[in-house]
Amino acid sequence: MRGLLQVSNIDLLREVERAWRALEAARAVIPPELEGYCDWAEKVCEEIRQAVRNNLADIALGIDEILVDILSATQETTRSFHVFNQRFLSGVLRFQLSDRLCLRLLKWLHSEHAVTRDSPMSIGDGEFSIWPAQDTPVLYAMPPSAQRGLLYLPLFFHEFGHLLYKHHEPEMDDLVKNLQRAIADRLLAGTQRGDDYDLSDLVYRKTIVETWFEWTQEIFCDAVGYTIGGPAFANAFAVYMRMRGRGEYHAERDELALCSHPVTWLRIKLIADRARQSGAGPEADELERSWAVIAAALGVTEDYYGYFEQTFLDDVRQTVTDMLTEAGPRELRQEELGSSDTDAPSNSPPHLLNQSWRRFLRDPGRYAAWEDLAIRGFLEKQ
Amino acid sequence: MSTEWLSARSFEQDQELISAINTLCIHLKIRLRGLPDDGRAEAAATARGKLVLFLDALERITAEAAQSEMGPLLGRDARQRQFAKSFLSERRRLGKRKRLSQRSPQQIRNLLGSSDADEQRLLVAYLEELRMLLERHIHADTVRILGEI
Repeated sequence: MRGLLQVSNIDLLREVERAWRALEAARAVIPPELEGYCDWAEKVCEEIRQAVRNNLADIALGIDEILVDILSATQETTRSFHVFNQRFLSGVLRFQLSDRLCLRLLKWLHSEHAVTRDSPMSIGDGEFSIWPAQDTPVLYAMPPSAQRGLLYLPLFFHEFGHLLYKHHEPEMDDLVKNLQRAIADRLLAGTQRGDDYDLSDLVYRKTIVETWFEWTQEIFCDAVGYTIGGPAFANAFAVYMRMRGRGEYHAERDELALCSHPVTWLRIKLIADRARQSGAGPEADELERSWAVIAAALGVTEDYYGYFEQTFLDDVRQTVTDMLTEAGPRELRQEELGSSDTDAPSNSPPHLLNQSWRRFLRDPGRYAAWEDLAIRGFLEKQ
Repeated sequence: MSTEWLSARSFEQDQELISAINTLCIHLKIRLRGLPDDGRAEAAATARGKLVLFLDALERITAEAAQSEMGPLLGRDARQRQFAKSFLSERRRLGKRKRLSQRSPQQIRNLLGSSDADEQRLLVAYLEELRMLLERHIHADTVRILGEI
């Protein structure tokens, strides 16, 4: 065991050294937006190096009883390095000029919120996601083609919601817990009314209530997206998701228990509800109409098998409003909605993103040429 | 939108706890041999602090989960619920054969401040079993984050 641990730790040290050298080489080409991130990555390399040196020193003590602990420590350090290597290192090493668009937007987003002002961030390739962290940089992921255009950038605002949640976690968890209690009460009332879905089944009701922990965070993040991006977010989300298949409109009863996200059709309705509450009635109606048309064509009937009922809406709405008050996402300004497709391209990201959606929906065929100019203009103005 | 944030949250929490257990166990074992380990004293104190918070939280979650086997666990994400259920299930399964089933998280937590050698040996044994549960729990998140080869 001692020999195995020695070899594994020496190997880890070698890998960390290689990662460090790659970071040093990347320093020459990264933009200012990535410098904070690069500083953090170098710090992580040093922390892992130190952890490995500690393991080697402990091995050298020659005390057999602690070998099992050194084994666990070596595995813990290895996992940390593998996650860093696979997920975080590429945040610097993959930099290409086209990243500037996303990095400028994310820099703006972070700078608009006190809790994230000094948080370095980077982007990677993949489905829209975030590694939300308070003490380490934030890693966003977005599909490669979406990174290079304007239309789907508002989806970053949803991911940012997870980061805001993390920064206000205890208060948020309490609000969610209260909502879960309210839903539990509504479900119990449902059994007394003789509603469907076998709500008399205690296990089934329990599953619904527990599932709402994750669902509430996703609904909150959608609300953050709408608060920051307005119609641009609603359009980005609706258009991105509506052609992904039947599963976005309906999930079977036993599938819902395994869903960490609400059915997308339900999320659309809740985004539309929030839009309506903010005075955007016609846009909300159009959002719901477009999804209803597709659902009808698929032969899907809206049914959440007790996981959502209209009786939940007031509690969900109020909880999310309270969560927004706690988290304080930057609100879209009236002037950023813009009034005309012919507005000059702007360096206000929400204005630019809303403008891009207005232009695209009005004339999708001629949008691409405008978008190229708008991106260039945005990057030149920063 | 992916569920990365769930796995990231769970992974970071478990890593921190496993690291705390490793630091404290090594420190205690060296000291129980009568050898000095001054260089690790501060890290061991920090580790104790983290484990106190974790065991207090685990006591609360498992009490909630045990009070009503059928009732929902509120304010907990899927990974936390999974860990609480695994902890309770493991205690039932092991019966009296393993130490983890013999004491509550609160009782283990109370051993953290003890300077009595026998209690420290007992604490090490409990922490080793707890670490095994955490290592089993973190595997699912590790696979989700890193994938499989």
